[in-house]
Amino acid sequence: MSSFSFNFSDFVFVWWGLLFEAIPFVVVGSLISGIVERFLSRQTVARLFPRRRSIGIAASGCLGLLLPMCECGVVPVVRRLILKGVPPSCAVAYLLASPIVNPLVIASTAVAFYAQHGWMMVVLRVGLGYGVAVLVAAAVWWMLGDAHILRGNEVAPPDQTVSPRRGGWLGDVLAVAAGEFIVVGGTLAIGAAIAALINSGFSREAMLPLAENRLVAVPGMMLLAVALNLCSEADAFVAASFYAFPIAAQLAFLVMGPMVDIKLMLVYTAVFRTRVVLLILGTATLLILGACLASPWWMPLLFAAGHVY
Amino acid sequence: MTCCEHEHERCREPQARARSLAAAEVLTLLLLAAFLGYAWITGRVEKFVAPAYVWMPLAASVLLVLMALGRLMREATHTTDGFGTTCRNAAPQDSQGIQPAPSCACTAHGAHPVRWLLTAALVIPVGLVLAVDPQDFSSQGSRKRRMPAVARDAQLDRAVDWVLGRTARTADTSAARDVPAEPTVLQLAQAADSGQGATWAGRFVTVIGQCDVSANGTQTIELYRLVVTCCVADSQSVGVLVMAPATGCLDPRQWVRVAGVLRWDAPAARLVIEAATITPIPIPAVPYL
Repeated sequence: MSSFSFNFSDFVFVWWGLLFEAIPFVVVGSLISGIVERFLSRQTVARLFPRRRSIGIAASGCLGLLLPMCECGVVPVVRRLILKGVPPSCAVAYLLASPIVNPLVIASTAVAFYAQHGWMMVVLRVGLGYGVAVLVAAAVWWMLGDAHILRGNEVAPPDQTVSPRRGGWLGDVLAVAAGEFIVVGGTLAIGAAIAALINSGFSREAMLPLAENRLVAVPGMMLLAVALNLCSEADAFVAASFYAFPIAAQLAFLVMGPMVDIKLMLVYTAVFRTRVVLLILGTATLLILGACLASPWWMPLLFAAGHVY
Repeated sequence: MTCCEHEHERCREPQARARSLAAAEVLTLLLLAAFLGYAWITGRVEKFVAPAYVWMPLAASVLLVLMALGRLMREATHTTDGFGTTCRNAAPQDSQGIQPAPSCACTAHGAHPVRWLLTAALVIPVGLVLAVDPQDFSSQGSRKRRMPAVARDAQLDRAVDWVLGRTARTADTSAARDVPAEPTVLQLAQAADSGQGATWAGRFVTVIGQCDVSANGTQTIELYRLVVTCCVADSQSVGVLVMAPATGCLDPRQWVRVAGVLRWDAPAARLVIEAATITPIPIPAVPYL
């Protein structure tokens, strides 16, 4: 069987599989974006975020535990938070960490990998995901400071004043959510089409020759994560099925996918400036690649500690 | 209400374009909502997502309708004076009883082409799925989602042993689990992977799945099921080899019930069903594991 072949019905099947799964999350993300726009003032945002940026980034990386969002739903929320004055670096930390450092994803990873590695894969995924998110956010802070990172010249609108508009606050929230959904949902549909093309056409068996060598397996699984565009709540089950691969390669798949995939690249490009997208994607990819390729030096120690304790 | 007249000409064209886009966006939201609702009512959603997620497109459908209405209401809070100029409604009287004049800026900025593209991107998949109406993966599509079993990460095992000072790994000696009378294909695959396969041999079982002609010959078929966690994009195909009676598989992708005895294929480390009967059945209500 060839490693890639196209079937139109399979393509549409996977495309709508992705859309049926992702659209509800984008709708919820758009509504949260509308709520943030209507009720969260810039003064509140300024009061909520720690003055020390390093603490702000570290705390933003954990925000997914309180406000769990998948990688599709988090984008409109982050965009609105930035418009409301959240520092870009803190927003990037939340953007990248939320699809991994969240209770649903922690639970699904535990279920998928418990039989193979107990809790160790959860620790590895959350630890590396959080670390990469915080380091990428630190890179954004270091290189761009508080510069405007959203595409175009979109700036924060003045805070809403109470006015007798038809529909009241609910109308405002829904109208903002509608506009947000068209932008993020439309981009998602295009990204999901490209993702479905690869997902439906690519044979999983073609990955097997890469499993032998970690130097090839890690980037191979990272590429697969980018190509398959799986939701972070489901990708652990797919990663677990690649048990021919070294754990470092499975870990690379689990951390890379929620941060960088084809549909996300398109959505990021629609929302952020190109320089910011390149910075986020480049830094995240290098950090994940480096950490997973260097796994022989640190992973056995962690596993051994897990056995001892 | 009349706005500043010099704004009229400047504002007429962008306002018309913005109104067209707003109308298109509202219609798109309603179309998408209608399709999601239709897919839920007709049970199509169940073919695309796992049972736990079936309710979500319906909820999204309701929310999309509300969002479209919200967008319509926002459009309605802007009034025109008949010259194409968009004016904000007059604000209420302030504390001194003075009513501020209505704002008179041209708020319509036309419609960016990208917004039209994104709107179209939401409409096209609806048209395609209605035209193609996919119900299942093709045979080849299912085969592409198969991941053969291979040994686990021996390199890491050796490294952990070295750190812990262990010389040899102890084999898993846990007791064999009870063999269900109607195991799923996934349970058979898991039993083989966990080293319990040999203890399952000799049991008579009934297994449901779709059949695929094996490359090994006409007497063998692959009985497979798709395991879906969230949606078909993450589906994986798990299969078990069936030594079929002479009738074999009637039709590729046909749903069948196989009754037979389990045999342990030690060299390949897998369970094989020596089928006594293979009966075609209709598609189960929940096709995925």
